[in-house]
Amino acid sequence: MELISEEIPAKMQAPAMRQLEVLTLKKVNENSLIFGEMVPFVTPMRLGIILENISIKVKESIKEIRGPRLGSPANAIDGFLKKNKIERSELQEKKTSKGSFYFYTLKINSQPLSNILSRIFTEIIQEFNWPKSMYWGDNYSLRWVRPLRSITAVLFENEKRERVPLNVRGIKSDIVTRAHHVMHPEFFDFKSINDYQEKIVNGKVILQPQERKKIIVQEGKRLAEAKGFFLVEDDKLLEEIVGLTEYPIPLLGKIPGELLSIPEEVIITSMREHQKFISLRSSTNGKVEGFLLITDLETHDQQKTILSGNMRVLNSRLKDAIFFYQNDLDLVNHHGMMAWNDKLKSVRFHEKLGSQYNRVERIVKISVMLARQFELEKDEVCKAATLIKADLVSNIVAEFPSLQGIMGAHYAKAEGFEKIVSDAIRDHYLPVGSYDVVPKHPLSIVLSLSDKIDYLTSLWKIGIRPTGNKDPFALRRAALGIIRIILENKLDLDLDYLIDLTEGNFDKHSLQRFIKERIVYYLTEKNYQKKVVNAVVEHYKLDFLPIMPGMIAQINAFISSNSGARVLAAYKRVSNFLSSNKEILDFEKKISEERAAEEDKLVQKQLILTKEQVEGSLKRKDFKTALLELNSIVDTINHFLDNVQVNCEDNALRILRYSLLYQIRETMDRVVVFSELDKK
Amino acid sequence: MQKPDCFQQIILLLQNFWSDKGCVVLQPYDLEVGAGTFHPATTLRSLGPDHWSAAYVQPCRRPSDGRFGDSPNRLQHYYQFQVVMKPSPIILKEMYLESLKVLGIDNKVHDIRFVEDDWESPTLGAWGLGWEVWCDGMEISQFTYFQQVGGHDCKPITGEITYGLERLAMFILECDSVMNLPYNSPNSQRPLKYSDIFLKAEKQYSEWNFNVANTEIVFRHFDDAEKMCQEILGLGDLKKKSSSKKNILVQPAYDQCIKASHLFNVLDARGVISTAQRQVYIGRVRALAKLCADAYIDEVSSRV
Repeated sequence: MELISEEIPAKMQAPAMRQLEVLTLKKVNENSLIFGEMVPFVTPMRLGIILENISIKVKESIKEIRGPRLGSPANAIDGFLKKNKIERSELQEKKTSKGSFYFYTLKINSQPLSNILSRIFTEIIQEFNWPKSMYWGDNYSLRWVRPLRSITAVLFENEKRERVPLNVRGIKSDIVTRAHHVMHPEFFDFKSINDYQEKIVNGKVILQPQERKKIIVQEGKRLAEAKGFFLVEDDKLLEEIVGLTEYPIPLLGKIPGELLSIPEEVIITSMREHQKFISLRSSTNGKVEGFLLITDLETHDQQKTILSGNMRVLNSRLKDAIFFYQNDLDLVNHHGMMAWNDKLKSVRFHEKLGSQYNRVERIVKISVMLARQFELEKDEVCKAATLIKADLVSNIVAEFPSLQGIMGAHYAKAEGFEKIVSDAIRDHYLPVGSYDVVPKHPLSIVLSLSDKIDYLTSLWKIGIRPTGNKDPFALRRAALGIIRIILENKLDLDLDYLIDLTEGNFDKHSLQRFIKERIVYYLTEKNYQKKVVNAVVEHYKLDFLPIMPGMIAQINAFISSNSGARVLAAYKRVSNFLSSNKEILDFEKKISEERAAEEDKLVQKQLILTKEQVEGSLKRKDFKTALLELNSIVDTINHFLDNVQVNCEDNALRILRYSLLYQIRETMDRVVVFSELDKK
Repeated sequence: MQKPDCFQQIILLLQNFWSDKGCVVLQPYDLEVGAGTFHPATTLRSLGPDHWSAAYVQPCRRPSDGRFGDSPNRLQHYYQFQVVMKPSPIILKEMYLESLKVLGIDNKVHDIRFVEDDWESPTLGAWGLGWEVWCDGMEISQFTYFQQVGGHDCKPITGEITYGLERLAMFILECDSVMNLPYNSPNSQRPLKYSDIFLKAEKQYSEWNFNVANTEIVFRHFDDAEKMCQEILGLGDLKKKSSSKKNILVQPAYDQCIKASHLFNVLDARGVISTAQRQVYIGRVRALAKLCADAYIDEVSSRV
């Protein structure tokens, strides 16, 4: 089946292809059909699926219908014959547990395959769910992504070809189709699936998006290398181009020298956003000096008109960009970037949180407080922080919002700020995606952390929370950014302290929980075992974040060592005693020491000692030592449990012993909640 | 096919083409509008059940796009050629491509691409699905199937094609700056360029829009237009006077909505509307558009 429509938005194509596959599979199974292979395909104009070797699992089913009892009156038998429209000779006699009856065996032939397919395809079209869909003309019986123009549905059986009849929104299915809408617009019919595939390629349509992508990359690389260029990678752009072409043909162009006077980020962005060009770097100097234009048309002039038309558009687009850039530079040269800060007062950040200017003021405050910890001059930090959002109101960023920070850095350089300042203005947005690096220089780190913690806490304060897979304010990204900056730079920074640097009272506990979830996410993504990650993140406060990865590694090493195994065994022994006891014990009650046995006193002494050691080590964040210190109590525990009866008759003594075991477990849990490690 | 050689010939060719396709050829609406869509021939006529096909040139004003005539392709005053067909014919796309051929743009030589662009007009409470049409990388048209206008579902659906005439002309006439476009034929007795006709006005209006317009008065005009629109539709003090059900004055009311929209654009260009306030003003215009759409639908349905 192939559905031809007007142009499907590029980003919807791949998901549509997957949806078609899933829906078809579901319907095919529901209808007890079997098939060899399923090949969905999508182009800007068509969405379709090929089902190979499809057949009906059971062609015939048998149903036995019970008639009257043997020996029933003749009119009863005649009635049964009449009702089922059968002859007397078709009846059989059969014995059942309830006696002997006349039976008639009904053979049910299943519907012809084309009927079943007709129903399945109709349901698929009607149930198809586009992210955005529409009506057209004056028929409201079907919503589709864009007007649906034709349906081709054909069933091949040996040499036979059969139309699968469909009628959706007044569109009747046909056995013919068409290839490229400009190069081969004539309709054609086909004798087999192979014939279809051959004719469609000859008609300049590449059905598979992956195949089109391969052509663009391979042919693009070949062209680029021949002219001394290489491709600037941009997978998102590539995917979009794949969704804009049925028959991609890369063309190479060189950017005229006089247009290269602007930062290359502007050139790349303008070419990507306005014209969907892939940027090319010169292999000799590494600069962006060329582009690949991917056209969808072979012309008699070898695409020369298309290339020259695009060159003209590029020319005017880049001249526009140069104009904006020059305007910005003029302002920076005459008044400095600070002039933009004033304009930020009229740029709203959030209706409940004031303007971008207010936000910058908050960021400045936080970053100045952070300065000392990073051994930075307060004045320097203040100066840089004040400028980090200035470029938001520049001409170029108004035109290309994705260049925020990048242009700020260029303008800061132009104004004569040091490189570390301009770098920090650029890098404070990092990391955005999970592949981005984190800022490295202390100044960039301070600005980035201040920006993100202000963003996170101020939105948190007004009650904005991510829910499920919805996170419109990208709070998860902000939290993850903070976590990554601390961990990947091995910063000794207390996240709770960072939160406390922000203004106002709010529900810090829920924010800490949220951040912890992100830490668990980050560490498990790093392939740490989830239960070990949980054991650490759940039971330590955020000030332990910097050493959490180390703690996880130490736990893993510890539990696989001999002494670790002994600690774990002792822990389990203690835990078993505690969980087997159902009595509610009043640990508060004072117990006279006199009745305690030697073992009780010994274990109590060791417990106090170990507890002190462990607390001391954890206070110094010396987790490794804390773990090792648990060794010292193991022998005492075993000796204790071997030689005393915990569940003794003496009430007070029993309470004392359980209390001791309870405190032992608590002390061990202080280091690691060992019971978490046993979880599946 | 002979390629057109000037701006005005492109307009004439388009008018003839769409006239042959069954459109009534209208003239521009006589108020300042930001886009051809504001013409009642599009906004109001896309509502209700009546079939309707029209084509017209519409001068558009976008105060904040003014560049004192210095930019090669930005103007505060420019022309759109607007086509609406309701219900949208199944071959509307093919008709459009044919119209390009008439203008000398052959889709066997030029790469015509339909790139997703879902149209939305927050001030009109309208949206539709469609594309930007690219010709060799230049955006030359918008192509939209209206789904809602003034908050009402469109039934039947109107297909709307908007040609950006200056862009299109720059492409066809291979001209790098709008001001250099030949307005009439270079072979005519007195050939005129686009700049000969519009440059002075472009400079004057840029100055007016950005630096001069008395915002205090414009703010007041906005409030007045809003009030008038509401009154005409029977919401304000005029309620008693105009309450006769027989004759709902939809279009006079809609004029005031158009005026409010333009006045808002002027205030926006003067930079006196903050980002927060912006949404409020857009909401006020949208409320007027919605009132007019409601009244139009009322009027159409009371006809029976």
